[in-house]
Amino acid sequence: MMKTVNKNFYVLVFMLLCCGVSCNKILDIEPSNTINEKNAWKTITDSRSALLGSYGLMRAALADNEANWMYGELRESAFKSVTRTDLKAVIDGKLNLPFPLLEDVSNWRKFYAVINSSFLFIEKSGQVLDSDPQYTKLTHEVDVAQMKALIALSYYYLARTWGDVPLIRQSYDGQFPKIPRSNVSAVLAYAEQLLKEAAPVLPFIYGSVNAEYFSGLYYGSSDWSGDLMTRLTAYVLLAHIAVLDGRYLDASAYLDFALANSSKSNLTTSTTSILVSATSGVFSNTNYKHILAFGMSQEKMETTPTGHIENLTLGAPFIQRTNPQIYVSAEDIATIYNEGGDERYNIDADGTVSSLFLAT
Amino acid sequence: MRRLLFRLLLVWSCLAIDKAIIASEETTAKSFTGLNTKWLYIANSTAITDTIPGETANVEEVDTIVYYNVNPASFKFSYDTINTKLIQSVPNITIAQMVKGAASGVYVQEVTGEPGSVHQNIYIRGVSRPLLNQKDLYLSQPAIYINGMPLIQDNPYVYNIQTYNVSPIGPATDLLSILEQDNIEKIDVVKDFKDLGVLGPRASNGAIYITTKNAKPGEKLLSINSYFGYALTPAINTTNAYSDKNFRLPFYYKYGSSANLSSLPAYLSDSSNADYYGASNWSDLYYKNAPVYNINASLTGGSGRSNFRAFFGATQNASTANATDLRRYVGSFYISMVPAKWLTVSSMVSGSLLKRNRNRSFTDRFAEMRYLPSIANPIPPNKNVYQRFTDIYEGDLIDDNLTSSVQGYFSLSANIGKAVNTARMSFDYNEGKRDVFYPKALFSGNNYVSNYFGFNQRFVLEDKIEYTHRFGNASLMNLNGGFNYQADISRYSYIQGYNGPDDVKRIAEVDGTTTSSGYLVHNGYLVSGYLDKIQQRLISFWGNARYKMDNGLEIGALLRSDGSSSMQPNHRWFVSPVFDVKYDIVKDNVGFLSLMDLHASWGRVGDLVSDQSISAGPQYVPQLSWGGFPLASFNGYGTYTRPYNNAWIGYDIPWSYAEQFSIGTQLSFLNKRISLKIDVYNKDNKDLTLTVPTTAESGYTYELKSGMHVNNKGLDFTIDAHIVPINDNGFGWNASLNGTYNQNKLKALPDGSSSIILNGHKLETGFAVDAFWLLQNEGIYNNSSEIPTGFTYKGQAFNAGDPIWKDIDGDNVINDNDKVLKGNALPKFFGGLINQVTYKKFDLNFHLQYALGHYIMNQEAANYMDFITRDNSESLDAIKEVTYWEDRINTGSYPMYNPWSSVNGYQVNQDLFLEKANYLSLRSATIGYKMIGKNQLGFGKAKGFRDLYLYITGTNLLKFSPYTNRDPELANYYGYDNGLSLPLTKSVIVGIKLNL
Repeated sequence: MMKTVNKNFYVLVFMLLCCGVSCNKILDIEPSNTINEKNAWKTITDSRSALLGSYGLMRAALADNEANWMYGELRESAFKSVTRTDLKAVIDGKLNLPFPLLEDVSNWRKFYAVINSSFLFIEKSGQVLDSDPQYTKLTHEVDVAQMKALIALSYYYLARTWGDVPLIRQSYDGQFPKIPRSNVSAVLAYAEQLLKEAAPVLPFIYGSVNAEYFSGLYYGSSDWSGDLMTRLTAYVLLAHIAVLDGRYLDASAYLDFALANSSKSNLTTSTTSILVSATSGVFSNTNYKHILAFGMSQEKMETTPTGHIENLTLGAPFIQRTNPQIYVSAEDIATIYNEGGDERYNIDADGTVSSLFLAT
Repeated sequence: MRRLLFRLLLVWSCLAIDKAIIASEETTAKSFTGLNTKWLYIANSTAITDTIPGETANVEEVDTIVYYNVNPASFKFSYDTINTKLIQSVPNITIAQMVKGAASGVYVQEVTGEPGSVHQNIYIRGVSRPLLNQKDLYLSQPAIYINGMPLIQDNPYVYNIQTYNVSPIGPATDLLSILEQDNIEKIDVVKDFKDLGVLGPRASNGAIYITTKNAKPGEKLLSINSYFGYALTPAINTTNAYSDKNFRLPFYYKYGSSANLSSLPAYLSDSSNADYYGASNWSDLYYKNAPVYNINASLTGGSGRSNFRAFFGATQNASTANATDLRRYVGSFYISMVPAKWLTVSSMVSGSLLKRNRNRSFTDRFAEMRYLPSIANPIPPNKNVYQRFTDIYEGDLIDDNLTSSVQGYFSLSANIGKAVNTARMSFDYNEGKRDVFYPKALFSGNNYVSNYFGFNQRFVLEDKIEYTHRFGNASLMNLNGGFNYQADISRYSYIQGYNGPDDVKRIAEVDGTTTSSGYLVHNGYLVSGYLDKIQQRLISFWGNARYKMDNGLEIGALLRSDGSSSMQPNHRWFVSPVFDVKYDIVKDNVGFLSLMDLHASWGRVGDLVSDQSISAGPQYVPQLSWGGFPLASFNGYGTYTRPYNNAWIGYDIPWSYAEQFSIGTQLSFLNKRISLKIDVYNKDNKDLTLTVPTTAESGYTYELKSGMHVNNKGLDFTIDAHIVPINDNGFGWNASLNGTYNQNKLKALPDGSSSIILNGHKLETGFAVDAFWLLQNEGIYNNSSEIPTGFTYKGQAFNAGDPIWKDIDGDNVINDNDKVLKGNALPKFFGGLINQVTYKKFDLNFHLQYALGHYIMNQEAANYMDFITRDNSESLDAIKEVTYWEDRINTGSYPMYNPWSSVNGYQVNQDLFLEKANYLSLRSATIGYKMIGKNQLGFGKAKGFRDLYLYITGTNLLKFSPYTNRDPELANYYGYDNGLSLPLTKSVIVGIKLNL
């Protein structure tokens, strides 16, 4: 019996010893559903994930509450809202009414998330350059230029919607300073400066083997049509900023450049019928007809129930909703499309309506 | 610290071995008194008999005698034990139901009557934190132990990908539905930190400690128990479009324009529509008497050397409402062996299968689909139309919910002289499966499919050494300590498919062959898939020294060190002490006092977190979502970003912990006819983390910060009285009253802030964490002259027909600054009264349960009154279920506000809809008849039976409450009653318990 007791004792001591020695090792578990700083910025996949993450945040900023239309098209427009009083408030410009929608879209946080994420990329992606030889210096420079352009786009939206806004010039990762608002022109000037830095580095096209500059697959793929910031996008954006700043001559110059070089980005004009084509139209999936698109493409399995104009304009029988949330009245359509021969919508001398836009 | 503990353990083991060698043949029985109960075990016993050798003078005080030191965690608690008589004749399904109103200190929210639904919450001595979301709820729950094995629960991480939090994805079955009450020996509620200190961080919110019936030596005992009965249809009043229209028209006449009147919803405008204006008899299909039954059998027996127990059971529990039920099948085996005099081996394997038929509400379905259609028109109240809807459920539709689980342990207990070493390995594994298919007929030609599979697994390895020494005949010392290693893994995969090609293909799948050209291409459905996994480990060391003097003074000290993988490396370990003292003032009848003690304890126990996010520190997550719809890819590629939607998590986040001081007395008087246990406690939860709103320009919504402090103080008591001891006529009456008074208060917020607004809740220091945040309603502006000039609601001018809200800050604007913290969702005083009356062979048991001093938001009333907003809104709250046609709201008791006004007069967050939720309910009543049979020799030894018990039980029989809607219990965890819960079912069963 003594023997047995001893055996038991040693087993126990061994068990305790094992544990005592390696407790901290046992407790070091890598998180399986988040990536900590130690595991981030290691490989070329990390830089792709972070780069596209910033783009995705911009998509979220514009899609949440269909904000893109709340900030733009809906404001004091010909749209009418059937049942949603909050949309009516947006349309009528009564932005102080107590609707959750208005509270949500008046928060600029989501644009600053894009800015934060992009600066983080600019500050940290150099680590990938050191650890993964597949990540070339040029790709890194192009990626950084894209992030600069994306920051510029965020500031463009911020300035257009709110005017004077805080100007953040770094990620402040882990710090939360309160920065006072800067004058709108300073914000736009900063955006313009970023774009001018970025534009010469940005390629006209991604993933094309025939490109003069930055040719070959980009992150192993050629499928980047309309998704990313190109040099063309940067110039178009420069033109927008110039317009907002009241410098129309500059805008014209930027656009001239864009038009002259549009073929380098495979950008072509579209006919009206292509505009509305369900399968190969401008708005189906991603394609080169987009100067820059933040898509929710079915092809890429990124369809969502909200965030798109369809969520506002569709109704029965297309979806289970008695009425669309917004519509344009027949009278307004006739007023807007008042030129004869307009393929989108026209009424000829006999009073016959023809339209490629509307089912007549 | 842990090294010290570890060394101490080693020294103990050496000592123990030493003693074992010297005194290996010594056979002694020792007893040791814990705080409130006798602690008794037999060491080195050679013969196992039913009689207890040695010091057994006060056997009746011993709740359970542990013949072998079977479980390393078979501690003797200063607990409140649930009266097993109370639970064994009542058709309860979950642990929450069993402890509800049955022990002091425990409050149970039974949010819905849906059998086996996950929506049941248990709180012991208050809430440890504000309940702002499902994660907080999870972190406030007590630990549940079965035979000393801590069960793993469903982790709230599934909510991360959910758009709506109606129920977690998957079967959403309460994992605490796995026990049959006939297999339960006892349930203890553990509240004192003297005991919780031993259980450690898992039990920082208290513990429910369940002991099942176990292998036992003796003649074979065959027990067969069964009941059968019905869940009974409630009496309700139904309405149809007439009543709806009659309710609405006065508003249209008073405030509406003619255009408004002509835009009456379609279902109301045509009074010749018999579907809406005809008979309202939907309830014939919705509420049906539903059978409930159970049958189980167990066989126990064996010799002192080896004995066993086998248990099998099958149960159906059902609700009368919405065709919901739960079916359960369990099987358990227990084996104990004494292969050598000094060694005891015991083991358990238990398995269960739970199948649930879930409710057919639109809300649950749309939440699962994450898609809200136009919902202005409710489903008609006519039976024939409703039948068409239920026919789809009976037909092609699939909604399979299956939860299976297996638990087990293997333990070795060695008596080595005066020391006992117990090692144990245990595991708990459960998996949930849900397959859903909604055919095209249900959703205008669109079908939907989803498949969920998830599991939780826990592995525990523990060792405990215990050493007892008696100094002469006087004082007694007990040293015990041990270590515990726990590893948890939870994982799920979930795939949703929308709008498939037809109703024949009912599986959403994508091509998984990476080399195939159609890799990840779906089979016709629009598919999205989700995977997640979390992993946590906990290592604990503890040492406990107890000393008892023969003058009745007993002191104890415990020190423990816990390491959690979920904490950051520099804060991985948490060391915490517990001290306790007890003094027996009266041991043997002095005056009218029979017994009296005073006891007190102070201790600190660390608090676990729910996932791995804190340990990761600053991190990146796949999160590009908006509007609650999860999306993580851009242009088809996976992405990662900082957690802007959740919270920035920085470094240096310490363990949060619970600290409790309690003092109490246990006394019995009048020759032990009346006994009273009363404890006063003050519990602080400190260093709690909270996601606080942060500067918007950082891009983050929240920042995770530590430093929240919540205090709960209160008193709990139990009075047991033999009102009439069994007399010569065979009449006896025992009663037990338990009660708890608890009040929580927010003591501090991170960064010393005094208030924070989060998700429509306001947390303010000095106020209760479960307070409602509301506008104060003071009537109605009957005409515009009554409105102060310039008075607005968030900038919108008031008009006649709008409510008068109190302008707290006097700035002429009603906004969030005018909301006040008012009322509380959790009761301040609650408990139960259990009565057992016996007369000869008959007995009558009834259980009353009460909760007082809390409030409920009648959100269903607000939704109903706010009909214009509801008709036009596309939100989950606006959905009209078929129960819209049940007469629940006392519309006449609310002022007639202009429902079109943009100040939104019927918004829910005002005290107009706040009601008292006090209630007293007769939870169960049982009448039984017991016969003692002739065969007392054991199963198979002679003809006849040992004993037989026949009974009739009714549950949820009566409820008294001032609440105007259905039932004050049917509110969610933060006190809102949205009317979706199924009623708590009244049921009647007849049962038999037969021992052979």
